[in-house]
Amino acid sequence: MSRPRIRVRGLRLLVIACDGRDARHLEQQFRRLGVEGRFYDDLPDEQSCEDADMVLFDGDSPVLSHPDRELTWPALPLIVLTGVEAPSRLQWIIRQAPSAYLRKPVRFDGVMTALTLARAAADQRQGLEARIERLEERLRIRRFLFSAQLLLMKTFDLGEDDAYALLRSLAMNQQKTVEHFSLDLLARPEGYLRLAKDLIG
Amino acid sequence: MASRHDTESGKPVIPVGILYSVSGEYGVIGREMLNGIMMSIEQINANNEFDFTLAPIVRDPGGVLDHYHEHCHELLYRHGVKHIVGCYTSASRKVILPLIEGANALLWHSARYEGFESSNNVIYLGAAPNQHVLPMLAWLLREHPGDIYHVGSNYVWSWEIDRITAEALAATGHRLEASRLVNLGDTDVDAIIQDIAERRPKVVLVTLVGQSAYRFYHAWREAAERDPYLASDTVIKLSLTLCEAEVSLVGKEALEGYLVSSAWFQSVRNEANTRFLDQYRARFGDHSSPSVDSVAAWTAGQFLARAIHRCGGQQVEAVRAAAWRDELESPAGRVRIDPDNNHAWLTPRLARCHDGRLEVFWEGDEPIKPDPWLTWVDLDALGPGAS
Repeated sequence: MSRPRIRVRGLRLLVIACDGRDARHLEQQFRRLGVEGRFYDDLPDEQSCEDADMVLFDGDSPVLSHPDRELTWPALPLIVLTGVEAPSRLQWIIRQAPSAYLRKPVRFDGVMTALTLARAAADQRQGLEARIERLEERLRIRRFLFSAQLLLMKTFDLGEDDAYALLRSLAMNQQKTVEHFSLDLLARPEGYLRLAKDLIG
Repeated sequence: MASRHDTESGKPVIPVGILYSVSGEYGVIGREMLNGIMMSIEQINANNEFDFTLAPIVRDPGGVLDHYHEHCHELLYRHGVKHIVGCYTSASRKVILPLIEGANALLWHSARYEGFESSNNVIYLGAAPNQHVLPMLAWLLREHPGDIYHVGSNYVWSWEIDRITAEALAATGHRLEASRLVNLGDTDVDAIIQDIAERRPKVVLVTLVGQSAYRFYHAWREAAERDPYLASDTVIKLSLTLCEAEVSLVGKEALEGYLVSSAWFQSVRNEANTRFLDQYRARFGDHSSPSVDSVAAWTAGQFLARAIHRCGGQQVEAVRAAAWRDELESPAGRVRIDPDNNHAWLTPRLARCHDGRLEVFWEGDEPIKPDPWLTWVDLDALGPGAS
């Protein structure tokens, strides 16, 4: 298995509500890493987020963390700067769903790790979300598979296993998943049943 | 022990950094804490039992976080101090903590705070939540069970009290009926008072700080002139922040009836407290009004000096270990430092504000072990019938 390349040069970061020494240390470290940091006092508008790769925000900021405020983050990996470990603060941080964290005050180490882990965690999450989406869709159309299987069983007087094997062969011929083919079969049974009859021989 | 000697006494001089903001947003409290530590150091220096004197190097960060860092760095590396007494907000403590730990110094932290921290390089003299938030909630759930309306400032202290209160209430079948947090320094509280007047909660918990709190007390009083509910004493008003200096500042009329939880009030009855109050007024004038923060800062000075005296030096490991073995008869009663987490054992107390005085009406039987991570407390078991 190939190892992922670890390089952060060229990353564009939105840095939100970080101030004073933390902001200065981040800026300095970003320069060394070839990372572009854009600093904002508050969550910027959508347009400013368009070409960014990642967001880093201060988890203790009273600007961001007012209980009446629901933040709409751009769909980017989030890194949270944390200082306070009180559970109420951690509950708020969990709600923001960050991919990595960096302890305050920001030091000259740790930035590289946070950027790398945030990207890796976000990639993993994205991969898992895509997989879940695919599986959910298959689950949604699964009931059509049972209907299609039943149709083949009745039409050709087949047992359950043989009907499924036939359905799978037909799907493979069409280069589709069994679930998607089942949808097609139920929508236009005549043509596909003829094909099935040919296959059975 | 120390390189310099006092010209008058000939005793070795040990420099001590003092880092309290006497200007800026919370300057009033900072002044109280500075008074406490300065009086403590003056008493130590005048006491022949100590074979050294403490030389305070006082810095005022003005409530600005970057200034805390600059001054702390200067105290540690230019003046070579190993001990710093200071900080009020958690944000300021968090800013200097890496410096303190990096230099292996010791911060003597006098303010109560929200907990969830235990550094080997900090001695925490202020109350942890299990020593003043939980005792008040337990008393309330026992005496006046019901929903609570919370109004606080938008920072970690109020957030944490909000969480603790909500969790403790849930176990009793009650709830926080509202949580209104206003930004620090914001004085626009009229809508909240209007909301309280409409909802008529049985209990209002106030964790506002600074100008927001002062405006809230006044605005309530103004609104009470038109609203009998707000003027009545049926609504229970609780505060976790009020202190005597603020009662003087705000005015007694606006604070009549407030119930306050703290480890110390001026009205605590013991010999050490009578002596402390006399000395404080003699030093700062009859009009002066020490707070729990003054006492905690004074206590920090006493523990520091006694520990240096016991171990014969200012080296941090030795001073910390000596402090663990000490027990002080302080104005707040018996106080000792817990070796597990460096926080003080303190006695919880509740007081009622009457005619401008915070009069103690309940106190714990003995000092409570600090539990800064709330590890050993079950919030579900705070209600009536709990052991």
